[in-house]
Amino acid sequence: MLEINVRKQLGQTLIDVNVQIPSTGITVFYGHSGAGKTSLINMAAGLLTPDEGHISVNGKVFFDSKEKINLPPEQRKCGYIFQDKRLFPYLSVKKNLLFASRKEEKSLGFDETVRLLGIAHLLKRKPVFLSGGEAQRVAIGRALLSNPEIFLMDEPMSSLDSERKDELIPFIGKLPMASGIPVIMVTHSYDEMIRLADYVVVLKGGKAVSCGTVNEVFHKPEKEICPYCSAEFSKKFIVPNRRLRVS
Amino acid sequence: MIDILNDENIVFSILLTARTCLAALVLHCAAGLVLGYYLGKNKGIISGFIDFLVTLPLVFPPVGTGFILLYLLGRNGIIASLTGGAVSPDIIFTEKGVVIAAFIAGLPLVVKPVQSAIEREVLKLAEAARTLGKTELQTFFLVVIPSVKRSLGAGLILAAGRSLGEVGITLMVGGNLIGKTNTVSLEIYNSVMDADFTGAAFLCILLGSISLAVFFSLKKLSAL
Repeated sequence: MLEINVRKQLGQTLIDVNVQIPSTGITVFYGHSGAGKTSLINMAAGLLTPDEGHISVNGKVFFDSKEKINLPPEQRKCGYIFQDKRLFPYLSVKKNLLFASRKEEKSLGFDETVRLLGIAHLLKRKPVFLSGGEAQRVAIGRALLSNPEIFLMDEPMSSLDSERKDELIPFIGKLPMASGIPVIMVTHSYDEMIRLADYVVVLKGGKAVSCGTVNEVFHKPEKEICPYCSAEFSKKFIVPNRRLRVS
Repeated sequence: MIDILNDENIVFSILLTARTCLAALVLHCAAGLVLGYYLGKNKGIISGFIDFLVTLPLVFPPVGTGFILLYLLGRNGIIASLTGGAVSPDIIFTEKGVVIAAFIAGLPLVVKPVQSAIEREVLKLAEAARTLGKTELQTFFLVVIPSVKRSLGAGLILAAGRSLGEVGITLMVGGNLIGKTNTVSLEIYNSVMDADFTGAAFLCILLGSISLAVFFSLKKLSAL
């Protein structure tokens, strides 16, 4: 279970969120720009310090203002996949993948990761010679090989065209099952959210306005209106018989 | 030509300048990386003040900078007064003073490109490295240095050129003592004052050749 209970004043926006997220499947932080989604996962990763609050993953406390605990990012074991990939441009794809090289039993092996993500043919290339989708798959592989306890993805498909997006979605979709690692993904795209999310936290103006499984938040007849933008969703957007991995 | 190379003063000034540039290069490399990283990463009052001090030699007349250093580091200077004479750096009118002059003059030319590269993209890569389990020190060596190496290289070449041609600060801190602190640039001035125009021309050609080499090195570096 991931617990995030934080307050942080960022300019005019007060981020004040208290959510508990299941430690399986894909959880999506959904909301428009400025809702505080990225700030929230940055706080979880240790890249942004909350003013006060508590963050823990499976009982391991990352941050607690009362206890004065604030683990540095390298001790949190969060596999962070950035919107702008952030591959090291001076290293080959293989060296990027091996950058973290935490060798622990639980982690997927190099060959297994390369096979899962379909990037074997890219290993000798430099990141500058990769397409957006390829670079993002390499970034996922690099995070996977760092043996994380949780994946944090910040709009991983925002810079991709629909074709590259369709190429990447299956990889992200099978990631929690294949690796046993939960995923928290930030997106403002309803399409991505509905295709990938097991659990949704809807954010608006720095607050969590709704959370639950996709069915609970969006599919029940009384909740067919998006709690963020009040748009009405028709059934055609809903993946039929979607098997929820989160109870 | 052979006569010029037999001139002790000229040979001494060439060797002194070479030693000074080499020492300044090592200092610039270390300080450029550390200060560039610190200033690129931190935006506060202290870092703002350090940024101002580093940039000062670019915008302040060299003779003025030399005078400030003289006032700070002299035997009866501010540092000696503040520490009651316990710390009295013996560098004025010595070779160490010449190295400090070259270091101060070239420092902003190394720090600024490194700082700019760090602000532009390296901090983001450093964040990624931290999430991948690297400590701040590991991140500095594994990510920051490889990412800024081209900016650092360009800065070092520019700073070396600046150190070669430094006159104002060197004059105040080094004192232009013949056979002790007369660098090539100062020796050109001395040669002209002694009406030794052949010696001055030789040293000018020497500095000009090095400047050309600096120019082509920079061009090659930017094409990489």
